[in-house]
Amino acid sequence: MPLPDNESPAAYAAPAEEFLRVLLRCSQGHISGFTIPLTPAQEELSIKVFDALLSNRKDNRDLHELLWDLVRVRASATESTIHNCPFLAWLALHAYKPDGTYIDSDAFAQLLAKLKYLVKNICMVEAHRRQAEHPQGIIG
Amino acid sequence: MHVCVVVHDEEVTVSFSLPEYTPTQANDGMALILGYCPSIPLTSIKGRVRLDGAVRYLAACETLCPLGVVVHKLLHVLICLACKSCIIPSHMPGHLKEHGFKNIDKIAFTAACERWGIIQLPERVLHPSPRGAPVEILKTYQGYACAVDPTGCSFACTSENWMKQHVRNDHTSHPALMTSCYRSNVPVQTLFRPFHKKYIEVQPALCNVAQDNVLARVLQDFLPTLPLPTITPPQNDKEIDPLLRLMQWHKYMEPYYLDSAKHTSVLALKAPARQTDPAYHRLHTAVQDYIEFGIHIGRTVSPNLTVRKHLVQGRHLSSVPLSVASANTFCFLRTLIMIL
Repeated sequence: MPLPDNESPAAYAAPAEEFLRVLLRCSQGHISGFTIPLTPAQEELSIKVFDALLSNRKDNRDLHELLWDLVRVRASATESTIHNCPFLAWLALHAYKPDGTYIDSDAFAQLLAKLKYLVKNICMVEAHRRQAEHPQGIIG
Repeated sequence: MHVCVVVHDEEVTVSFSLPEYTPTQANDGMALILGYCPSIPLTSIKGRVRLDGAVRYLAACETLCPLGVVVHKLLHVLICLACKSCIIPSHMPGHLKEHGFKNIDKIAFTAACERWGIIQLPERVLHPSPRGAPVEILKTYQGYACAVDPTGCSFACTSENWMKQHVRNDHTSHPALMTSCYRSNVPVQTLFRPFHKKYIEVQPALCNVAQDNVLARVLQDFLPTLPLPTITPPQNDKEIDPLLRLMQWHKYMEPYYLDSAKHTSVLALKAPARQTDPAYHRLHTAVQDYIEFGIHIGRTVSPNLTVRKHLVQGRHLSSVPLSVASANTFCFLRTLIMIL
């Protein structure tokens, strides 16, 4: 877990930033033709996030909605594959090095730790948001 | 005339007669070697001096020789033979005291410096062009050379952290993978040290090789301009490591490494945002703020909130969405963490 008083929050944010940058570039149509598989709802949310960034809105609601939709459990029990999971598709690109080889397991383990923390972070924000919606508790 | 060069295990043989030879796209490299492309400069780094490995540039005179000092006739600098380093004239009397020369005839020394045209200020000294013959006598170190812009940037140094700082500061749109931005174990030299250090990549193989020799032209001009070698896909599963076998990245990325144009463009996809691209530039701050917001929630706002991690995989996923406690991402996270 990153410490709040050093540079580790930035280090933990780096993979999330690269993932979102690739996702937004792909959804805007990139010359490489690489795609991140998104559901129609996620595509709409990615457009909202891009518009929010363009208009320099400080509110992180759109960003959170996109991230939450990407990590939450789906109703249909389909298995995640590289062809339908945005994270797995991005991992393939992230792992690809300029010399045509791929990152080693040491680097990959560190990346997974940061991704795991990102998922925990998203869940915390979602829980906080739901708690704020029901200050007296969901069952009253 | 026949010239044969082996590049990336491929033998390139060019046969032509002077002066009817016309460069084409396929043999531009050989044209460059043989000076048939006057529009392409010998070196694109301005303000550098090209050293000829076959020429002896060091000279001495009756004033400097007893002091253990020689002159580099092309760079117009003094070299201390004991330290194997350049010393500026104003520092030389003090420096020589360290070697036991306490009473130096300063008038004769100044006259010798003027006679040889020695440059007084280190910042005015013209440095050798990169990847050329080493400066005689000077020490050679194992260092790092910038690879982001091989024809436009000649930065070299002996510290990996210094090199990373250079890449971050001077090449804002550098490739995402830092280790691909520079070359390691590169022979480098610096004229001055410990102050006014400026490292230059040198090519020890060019010692005693004339500047117009084909070997010199290949090593200094032709090889740095070559594209990356073709990437060949693995023939069978034994050629790939267990992680790659599990993740199957090579199959997903196959269209990109088989086509050099796609290879370049797909790498650009993950390049950092530029200052001129406001949306992607703001993404950096937005994501960092979001992470710090999560940390803030976890530590202060809602101390009673915890995230319960239900690690499940594939077809064993529950059809009922969990409240806030699970994520698809964990499916592959758990599988991989167990394997790693």
